[in-house]
Amino acid sequence: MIETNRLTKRYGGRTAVEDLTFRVEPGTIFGLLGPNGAGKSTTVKVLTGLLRPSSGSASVAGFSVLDCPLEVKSRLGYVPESGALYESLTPGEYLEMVACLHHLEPRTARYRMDELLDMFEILGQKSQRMTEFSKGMKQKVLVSAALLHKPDVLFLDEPLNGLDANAAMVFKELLKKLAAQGKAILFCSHILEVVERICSRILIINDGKRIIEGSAAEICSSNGSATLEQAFAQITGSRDAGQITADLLAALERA
Amino acid sequence: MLQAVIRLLGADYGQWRALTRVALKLDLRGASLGTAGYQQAGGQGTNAVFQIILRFGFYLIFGVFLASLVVINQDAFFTGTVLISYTMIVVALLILVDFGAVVISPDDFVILGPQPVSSRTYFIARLTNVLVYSSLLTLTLGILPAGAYFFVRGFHPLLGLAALCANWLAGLATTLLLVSIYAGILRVVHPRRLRRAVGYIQLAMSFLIYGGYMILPGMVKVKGIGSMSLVDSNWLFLVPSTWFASYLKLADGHGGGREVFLALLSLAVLAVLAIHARGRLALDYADRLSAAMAVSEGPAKASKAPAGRGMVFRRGESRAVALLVRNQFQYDLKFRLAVLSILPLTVIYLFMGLRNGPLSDPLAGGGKGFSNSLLLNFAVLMFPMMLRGTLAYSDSYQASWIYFATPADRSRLVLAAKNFVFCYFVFPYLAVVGALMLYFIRNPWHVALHLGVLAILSHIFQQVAVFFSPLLPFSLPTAGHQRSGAIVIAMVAGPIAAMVLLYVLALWVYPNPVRLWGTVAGIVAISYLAEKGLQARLRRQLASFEYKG
Repeated sequence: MIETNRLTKRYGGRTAVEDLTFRVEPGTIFGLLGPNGAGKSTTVKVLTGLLRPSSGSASVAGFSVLDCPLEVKSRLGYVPESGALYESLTPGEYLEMVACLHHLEPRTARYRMDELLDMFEILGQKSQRMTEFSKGMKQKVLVSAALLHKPDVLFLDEPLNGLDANAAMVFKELLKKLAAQGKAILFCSHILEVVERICSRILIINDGKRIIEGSAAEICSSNGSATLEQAFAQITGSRDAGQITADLLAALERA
Repeated sequence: MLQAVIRLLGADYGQWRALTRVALKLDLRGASLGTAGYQQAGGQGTNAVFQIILRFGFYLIFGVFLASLVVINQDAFFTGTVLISYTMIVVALLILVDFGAVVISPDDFVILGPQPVSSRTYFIARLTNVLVYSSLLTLTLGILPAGAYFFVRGFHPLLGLAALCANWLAGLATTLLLVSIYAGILRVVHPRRLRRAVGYIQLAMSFLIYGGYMILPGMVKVKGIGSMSLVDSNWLFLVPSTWFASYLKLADGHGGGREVFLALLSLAVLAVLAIHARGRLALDYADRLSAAMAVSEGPAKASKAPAGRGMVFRRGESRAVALLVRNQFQYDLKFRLAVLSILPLTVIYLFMGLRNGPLSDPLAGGGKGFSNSLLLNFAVLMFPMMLRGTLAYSDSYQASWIYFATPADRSRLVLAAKNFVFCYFVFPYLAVVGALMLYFIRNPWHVALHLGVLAILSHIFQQVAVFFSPLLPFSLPTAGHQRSGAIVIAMVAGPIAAMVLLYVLALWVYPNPVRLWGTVAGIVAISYLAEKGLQARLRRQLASFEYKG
């Protein structure tokens, strides 16, 4: 469903993603993890057609992202990490625009729009401009837009950003059900407890390179860690958190 | 019909319609496609609509003047050339200053990029967004003159229609040309250099457009408004507005082979521009935006050198403002373009002043020849005001929370912004004017005294502006359509106000030493006291300011 083969993306002289190969099967929630600047968002942007790969190949729902970008885009839903949307529109207007771009029948679009907004408990704000919305409310609109056209593949870059506890719970349940329906979901997040709980497979990358792939249990057992958080810290080479903070406080005292 | 045209252009009609509707909604609500509209704050809608109404009201009033010219002057070719030239200049200004970023900005590609929209549809939707405004503008400007052509020499509908049509097509050609140039930049220039290249190209095009103001009057035979006409020279037909104005001569029944050729030339140019826009320009447009976005995703280039401490902005709020302005100029394309768009005016004013003869000593000759340096002097008074406005608006306005969440003295921030404009714009400008005046006048004391008076007056102008409207730097969301509007107002209304003040100086103050030194002492005292009072007033005023993000 999602497949990359030696995918590489360079920004000028800097390589953001290097020779990355992985595969996400239908019915899988696939966690893509890495420290800040590891290349997760760049990978997602290449797969969603926002950026062109420098080399290698990638396909989504059986279509090459380079050769058939429109076929790919009509089959994917994307929640960007930046929370970018036209805030001057109302949720109704924004979702209507997305529906038009996906050629949805107006009646179908209206029905799904209301269902999604109702699920996230913002149906009452459907006609209010999003300029006044909180971060979480905007995130709910973005998630609704990603699901509106019933995509086969979902790319979620920090989708829980700003969501309240209730909405996050509903959303996590929804993801599990969508995966059970056979959708492929690529999930980027720094909240490792959530990743550990909902992702059936996890890929950790660092400096744009693949480090390890497996289930949460496999990754933990590979280095004898009790939790994914500990395993992640060891794998990505982070120094001991206690030592770092002690050093910092000492430096601040000295200054 | 529209559906067929859009399909003929190779775009998806449904998607084009959705994107165009959204773009217009965003514009009316104070945000615009391609100008980081998704970052805009609320409460701008009324302001944006008001700005648009104000702008088009101004064009309608100017249409009254043009219609009067049509009534007074019987030469349809001459009046048509004036009308069309003005329309082309204003359309070009609109695109250069307000809509340039709509075409080339990758800012909203992160929203629309993942949607299944073809590159051509995307491009044509953006082009439509610009065309809507340029068409509205040409209609507003041209409707009253066209009405005059209709009725003024008996009932002459063909002439009226020709005027309306020629004016609209000239606006369309200008729009297509500039949009093609902008989109062409995306293809030719490496995305990494895009922002800088756009700045320079905009500067060069502004020179060309403002330069039109100087070329056209030179081609007019002035004997009185009613008998003005264009010189009968083939060189005249290098001016594109005459190609479209030839429609009027043909409709008036005075056209010959040359006018037919010019009319056909105008249509051929339009066809070439349309084909060009539909071709490769539209096909790889999305790829180019993607590449431009990738650049902004990449690592930021390190600043070459840390900002020096300088003489004035050494610490505290003033240092913070200096650092901020310097870096915003380097990295904020909109801010840089807004500042750069002022520069061509300055140089052209300089040129226009010198064209009328050498600069004369303002303190000698009782104001004789003072008009040659009038525009230069005007620039010292008015341009810092334009810069001040530019300094307040930014797409990064949400970052202004820092002014409210730190113990910074906001009155000092406002005053630092004023002082920054004064030190880094007024002083260098005065140095250039001073060097020029010295070349012609050779009396350093007179030059220094005149420039000193101008500097203090410019400072008082800014103090008054701050008094009535204190603005924190980069703290307000960019209200669309404000910049070219400001330039148009400055070009038409500003010189009148400045002229009064400057003539009072030249004719009443300078010839009398008592009045001269009395005025100098007076304005120095006013400026000094105003600065002292301003800070206290600002502290009170700014206490009620709230974060706009």
